[in-house]
Amino acid sequence: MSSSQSFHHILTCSDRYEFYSSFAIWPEEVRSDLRAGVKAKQQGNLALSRKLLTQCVLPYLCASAVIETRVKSSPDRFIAPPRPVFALALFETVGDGNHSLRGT
Amino acid sequence: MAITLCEVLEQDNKPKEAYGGYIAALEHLRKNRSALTSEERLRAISLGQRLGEMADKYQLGEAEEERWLTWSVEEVLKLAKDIGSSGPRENSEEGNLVLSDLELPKWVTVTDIGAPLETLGGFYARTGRLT
Repeated sequence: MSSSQSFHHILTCSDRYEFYSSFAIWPEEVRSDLRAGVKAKQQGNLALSRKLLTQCVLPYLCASAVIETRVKSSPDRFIAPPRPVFALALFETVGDGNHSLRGT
Repeated sequence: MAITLCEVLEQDNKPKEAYGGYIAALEHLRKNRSALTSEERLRAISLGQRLGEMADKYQLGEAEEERWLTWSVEEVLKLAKDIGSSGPRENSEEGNLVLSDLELPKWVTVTDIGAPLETLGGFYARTGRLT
């Protein structure tokens, strides 16, 4: 292996380490899917990326979205729910329906 | 990660879903505002800016656009005030790392603190409200 190849290898390993370490704030059970989702995005596989990221990220955003749809009339809200239908659309059109807000 | 997901949705020609996702992400940040770093607060401001842009692009109405842009300006002013009255800069290395790893879109980072003001000013000029 030439010196430039070694240097490239070291850089690649370093990048890989940083790439994986940035997921440490997420629960262990979803990390592999998150990594795969980001990788799929970088590779242009949007359908796969969307599926993987949605199933991991959605549960964490659901609580916020539930509040969005339930407190429509509160006058002192920081942000009135501008288009709750859009938020609902996200939850209804992605994944396998397990994370749908309907019925929550 | 939510921004990454929404970016995928946008690229996949699903703007409505992306819009909903950005709102949920911003709401999540807003609920945890007291725990956010300056970097994360800037990211929230960028989200507000992005939502304003999308409201314009997808014709969601002036009130909708104004709401996001106004919030962004208010928040950037609060942030400027807080930064001005705080001590040494906090270590944002971790946030930078996450941003670079995920290859988030450029709009995620507000580099010019005057940008939200400029955007809101542009909105008022466009809608004929110059006073």
